[in-house]
Amino acid sequence: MPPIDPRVLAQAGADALRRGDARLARESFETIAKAGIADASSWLGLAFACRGLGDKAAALAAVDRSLSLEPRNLRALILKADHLAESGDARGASSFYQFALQAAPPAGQLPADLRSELGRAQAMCARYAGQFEDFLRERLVGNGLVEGRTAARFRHSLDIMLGKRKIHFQEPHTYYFPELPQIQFYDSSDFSWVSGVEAATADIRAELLEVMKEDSAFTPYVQGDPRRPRKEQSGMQDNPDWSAFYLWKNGEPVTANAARCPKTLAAMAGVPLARVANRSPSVLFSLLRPGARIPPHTGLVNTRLICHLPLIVPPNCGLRVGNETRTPVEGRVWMFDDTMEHEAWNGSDRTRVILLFEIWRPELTEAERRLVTSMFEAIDTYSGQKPAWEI
Amino acid sequence: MQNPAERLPEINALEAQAVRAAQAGRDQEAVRCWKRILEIDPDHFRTLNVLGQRYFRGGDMPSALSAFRRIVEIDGTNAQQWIHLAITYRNLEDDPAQEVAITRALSLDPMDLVGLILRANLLKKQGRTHEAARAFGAAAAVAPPTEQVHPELRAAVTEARAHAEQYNKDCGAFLDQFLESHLGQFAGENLKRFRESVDILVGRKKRYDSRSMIYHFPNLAPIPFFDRADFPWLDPIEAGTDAIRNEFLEVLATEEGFTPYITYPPDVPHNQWAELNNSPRWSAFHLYKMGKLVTENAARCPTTMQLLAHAPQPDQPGRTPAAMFSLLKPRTRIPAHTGVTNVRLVTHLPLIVPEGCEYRVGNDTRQWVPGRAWVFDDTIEHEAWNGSDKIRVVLIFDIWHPHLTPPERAMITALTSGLNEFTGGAIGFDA
Repeated sequence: MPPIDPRVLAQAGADALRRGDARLARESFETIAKAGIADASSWLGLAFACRGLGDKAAALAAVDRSLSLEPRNLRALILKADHLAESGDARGASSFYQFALQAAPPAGQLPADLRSELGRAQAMCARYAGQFEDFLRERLVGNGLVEGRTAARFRHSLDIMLGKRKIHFQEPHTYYFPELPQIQFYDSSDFSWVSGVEAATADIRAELLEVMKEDSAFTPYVQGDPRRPRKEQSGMQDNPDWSAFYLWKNGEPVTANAARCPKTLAAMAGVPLARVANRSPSVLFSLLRPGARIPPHTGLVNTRLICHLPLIVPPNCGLRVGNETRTPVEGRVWMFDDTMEHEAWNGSDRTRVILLFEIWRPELTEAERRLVTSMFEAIDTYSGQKPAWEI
Repeated sequence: MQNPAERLPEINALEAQAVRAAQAGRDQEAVRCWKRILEIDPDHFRTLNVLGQRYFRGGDMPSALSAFRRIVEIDGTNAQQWIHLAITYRNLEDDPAQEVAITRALSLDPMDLVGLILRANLLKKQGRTHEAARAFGAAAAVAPPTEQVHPELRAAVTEARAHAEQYNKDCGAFLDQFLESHLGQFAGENLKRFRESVDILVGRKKRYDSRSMIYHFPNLAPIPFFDRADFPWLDPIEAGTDAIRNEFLEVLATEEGFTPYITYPPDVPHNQWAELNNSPRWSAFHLYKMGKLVTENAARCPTTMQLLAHAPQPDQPGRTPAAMFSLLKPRTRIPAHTGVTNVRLVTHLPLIVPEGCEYRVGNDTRQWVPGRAWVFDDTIEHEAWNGSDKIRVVLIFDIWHPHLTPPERAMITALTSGLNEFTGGAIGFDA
């Protein structure tokens, strides 16, 4: 028997495949395989040839050999996925399509036919995910899944499992308090003081409207500090698109401003504002100009929650905290953990204004609150200067 | 003087000659050409730059200064231009001017490593310790790993790191002392979380999150070890420790029913489990496995099964509950890992614990004590080791996460059934 030249045979096999002559292709690749010198592409060629001939078992065996030599070959992965899809193994197929998509280089580096194959893989994944989701939701509704508070966390967990939401973690810039639950928006009905603040909405808004008559009352929210590197708040520094009118700022009353809003301050009387020298509380009207967007960012410490009382809310305003987006409603307080990545926007052609203040995190004990306060005072004592603080 | 633009051909010719001369090592000729260019066009940017750097390297700071100053006057839009100026002022010991140049550089690029190092050193020289520490910290934070740092900067980066570390240490020591009296006011309170927050703040400890490998339930607190007092149902189980241990010893005597704890098939990633996979070094005698009672094993441990009924075990068909005797051979380490889902917690009842065994969850390392159970969140990184020459045995079982409401538990059970039905019984995830 003459020695086999695998390159010649492989070329012949590939040419035969291109012509659609699956029989000759199979013969060529099988000869290489039988000689024990088949590489990943010869096995893949054999798999395609066998598939062309309708011999599914042989095709599967060949593609498995190919993948064992080259586990990230895109064509082999998709072929294997197609095989599993045809045999009714949706989950298996989905995992191979997904792996092919993950292993693929950027589309620009791929030949057109492979690009379209990957597009097909993507569509198959989406179809399976949709089927899976429909199936689960149907089963769960049958098991008593209802909308509403009791099921909120569970529905959230389902979205995470289905890949529709990402898990967000607290990312405070300066101080992390451990073992606290990772909650994005808190339930305002858990806070007894909320109804009192909400009841004062009309009075607070009236005071705000008086202040707004003066053009220069509000100052940019993000102020440049010559002692510090510029903030990463793309474009928000010294930008009047996002501006504030402080009644309390970093633990100090702003007397002239506070005098103009007595009812607003009175409404704060029942709120568990944090009192930390040089830091808290801050109470302010926060103004977002038409079209403005506060880019995603995370806050400083996770020992507080940020509360908003929306006062003037045009349409198309929103706040995203972690994986949850909500629309502000005038007169309805919400509170959120600002150490979860968050962003806000005003997509309307009118100004949006909220009353913003901060409270202790409800999970902290009285002893813990006092220690956190002492610790921040100690840090200021140690450094001999006021902190660069922001709400 | 003629308009320099009209004399561009002459400038270009001089520049070409200067470059050729410099490359050939004819420095005097090169410098003569560049100087000539500046006579024609005092604002010729490339020439100012090249001459400024030559003056600087040659130690002629006043000449370097006038070139670098001219550059920022003409342009000044690039942080590097201000850095050159700042370094020159530093060498001239003009601190106020250096400070201005550094601020300009960092305003253009707040992450510029050289700018941050210059700022830190200047503040240190001025005795502004705390601001210097912050700047050293910022430099340490933006610096790439040492091997990627330019060799000329390595010493400075190492110093910045050491300085930031030392400052954190000093701050930590100060806070410890300062908080001592405050902590004293709260004798009897559990202040573990607060103490850990200070340790994380000053870099003495790392922060750990709950990282479920498969199914993450949101809004739960990442608590490494739960408070024993939260689980009164553990009382009868702990009280039954001797009976449970006796049943285990009878089982052990027969040497039947034990299987390796980790049994991954060969064709999936083994990651940290390569060494313990299918190994008798870590084995289990299962009572509940993947949600099913292991009848023949359970029958050999009737008291254990009776006591186990006190535990609020989860119900995820095909996955939980789980309960087993876990046997760790001498000198064996279970590598750090995180569990599959935070809807359950894991309970350990230590039965046989030789000296030299330890268990870590997150920042918390503890020793097993026979008969003293603990409950932990296995989605927080944890590891175990038996450093002794005897076996270590623990009864392990899972329980519902106590912060899940009854409707949430019911829905999780339904979800698991749904997953099983969808996959036709094939295992969707291990638990």
